[in-house]
Amino acid sequence: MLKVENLTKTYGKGDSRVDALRGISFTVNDGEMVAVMGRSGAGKSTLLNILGCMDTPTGGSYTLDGIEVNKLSAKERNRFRRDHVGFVFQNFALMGQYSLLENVELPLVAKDVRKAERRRIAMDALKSVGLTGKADRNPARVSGGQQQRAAIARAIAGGNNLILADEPTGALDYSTGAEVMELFRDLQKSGKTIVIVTHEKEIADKCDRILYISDGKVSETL
Amino acid sequence: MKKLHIINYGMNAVLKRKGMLVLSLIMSAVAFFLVNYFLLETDRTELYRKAFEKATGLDADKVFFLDVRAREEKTFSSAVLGKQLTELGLCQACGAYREYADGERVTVFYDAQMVEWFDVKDDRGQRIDLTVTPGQYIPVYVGEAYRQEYPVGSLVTIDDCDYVVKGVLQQSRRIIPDPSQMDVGSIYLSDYVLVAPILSEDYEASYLLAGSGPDHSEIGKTLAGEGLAGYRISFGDLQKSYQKSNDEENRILKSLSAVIICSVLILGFVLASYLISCNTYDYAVHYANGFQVSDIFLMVVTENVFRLFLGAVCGVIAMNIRIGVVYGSGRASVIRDVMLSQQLGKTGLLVLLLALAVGALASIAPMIRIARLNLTDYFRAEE
Ligand SMILES: Nc1ncnc2c1ncn2[C@@H]1O[C@H](COP(=O)(O)OP(=O)(O)O)[C@@H](O)[C@H]1O
Ligand SMILES: [Mg+2]
Repeated sequence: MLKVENLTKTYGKGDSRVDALRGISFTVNDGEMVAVMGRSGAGKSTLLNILGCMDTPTGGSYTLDGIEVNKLSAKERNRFRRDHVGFVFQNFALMGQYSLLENVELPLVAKDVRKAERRRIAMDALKSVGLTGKADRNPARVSGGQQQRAAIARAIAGGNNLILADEPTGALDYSTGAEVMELFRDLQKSGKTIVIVTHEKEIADKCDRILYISDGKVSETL
Repeated sequence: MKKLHIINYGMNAVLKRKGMLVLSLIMSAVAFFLVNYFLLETDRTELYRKAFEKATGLDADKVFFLDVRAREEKTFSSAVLGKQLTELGLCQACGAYREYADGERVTVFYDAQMVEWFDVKDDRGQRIDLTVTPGQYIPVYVGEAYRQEYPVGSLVTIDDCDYVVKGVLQQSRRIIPDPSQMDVGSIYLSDYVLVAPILSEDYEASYLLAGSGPDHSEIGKTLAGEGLAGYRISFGDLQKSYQKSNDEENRILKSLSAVIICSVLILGFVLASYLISCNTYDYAVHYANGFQVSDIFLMVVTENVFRLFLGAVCGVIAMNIRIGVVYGSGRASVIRDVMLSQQLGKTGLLVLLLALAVGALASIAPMIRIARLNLTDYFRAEE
């Protein structure tokens, strides 16, 4: 279970001070798929980065799987991120010099999984997103939708339960985006907890629940 | 080691970025080539010493070297040498080979006044009072041409003075001077070299004398005709090399090489920082996918060190090719062999250590850069 309470995040000081989050509280149950919506600059990415332990909140508490993440040291938090979170980004964040397979292997390298095992798990992940035949392709040589599917394969290859996606369909056309959402549905069925940031209502509607963020606060309705 | 997989991965990462790899290889190979070049050129002491020992089989520590550039006397440099030696009281005779117009070849000895003492072959000549204790054998080395005449172990008695032939200077073991340098009387070990003894208590072995029949310019032409680039090695250089304590030139060259090495360090530093600045996106991707900050730092160091190491290897290979081209094969092979073994030995190790040091140093700037960077900024979605 994911639980945040009175979460705040402030950037900068003095005149350049920005209160990105001003006390956010909500819970996401295991196996839930939740959308986060809000206008640009509302703090969605900030929230997602905190949930993914890429960033730290200024105040409040964040508990994931019974661990109080905000009390962890930087080192512990990084290790926690490695073992609990998978990321999907709008720009896919695949590395051009590596094949899709090698990109998917990345979280397994971080976990020091042996090479043969790494290959096997990464191939399985690629298979589950329908990219078996493209494993050796370079990211630049496949479509945007396929790149995002590879990125999703990478997010699940590490075996982590929480998948965080920041505008995963933002760079895709409508039908490709819909396919990607189908994939997230499949992931949810396999037991993953998913948080998707989006500004598209059609995408958000495919989730179990929508959290709206505005003025650094959260609400369940608009 | 716990982080071995990251090191392994970092090295693979270097090989994966091909364009960057080629660029950095070229740059660091040039840098390391220069380091090698100056190291080899400055460390001539070792070079000559090894070449000398290889060519003569003598222990260089036990040999006294003297400047014997025969500027005033082209044809019989050994005669001039003999003059110098005898004036210094180091030697009482020196041998040279002389070929007469009718083709007859004789070995002659000269004294300090350049007076011909006697002709070894037909045992004629003036009597000279040698102060060597009679009954004591004085070691000499002979050239190829005397192999038959004076085999190793044979005794030669010249005017109550007994010489024992200690060895033959092999034809294949030559030190051939740069033909362009022949005129200043540099030494070479030819077929016709005799080594006369030095009468000094400090040195066991003999002084090596240059002895030559044909005129130097003729030899120069012959060598050039055979396409030999040759190598400059003169007793002058050898002597300088051995005057380690107050050798001004050596000190200047050493500091020059230090400057070069520092420049390479800085060059490597700037190069690596540049490479990394193109690369922070990749590190952000790694971070987002579970790499620890320490993993990323280790990757930066591994990549830098490995890249520089590969560059260093290329530099050493380039240096070897240069030595091969400049010093050719065959006659000049002593110098070449010594230089090549130096390459693979001492300089190879030094270059490796340098790659490690520069790589680690060059990683500081990018690591600071990464530490200050907000890696999450790379992934902020646009709406
Ligand atoms: N590193 C940062 N430094 C200063 N301000 C930031 C930083 N990151 C985000 N912000 C500000 O925080 C607010 C929320 O940003 P963000 O979370 O990216 O919004 P969203 O993803 O909802 O568009 C914005 O006003 C943004 O300018
Ligand atoms: Mg955003």
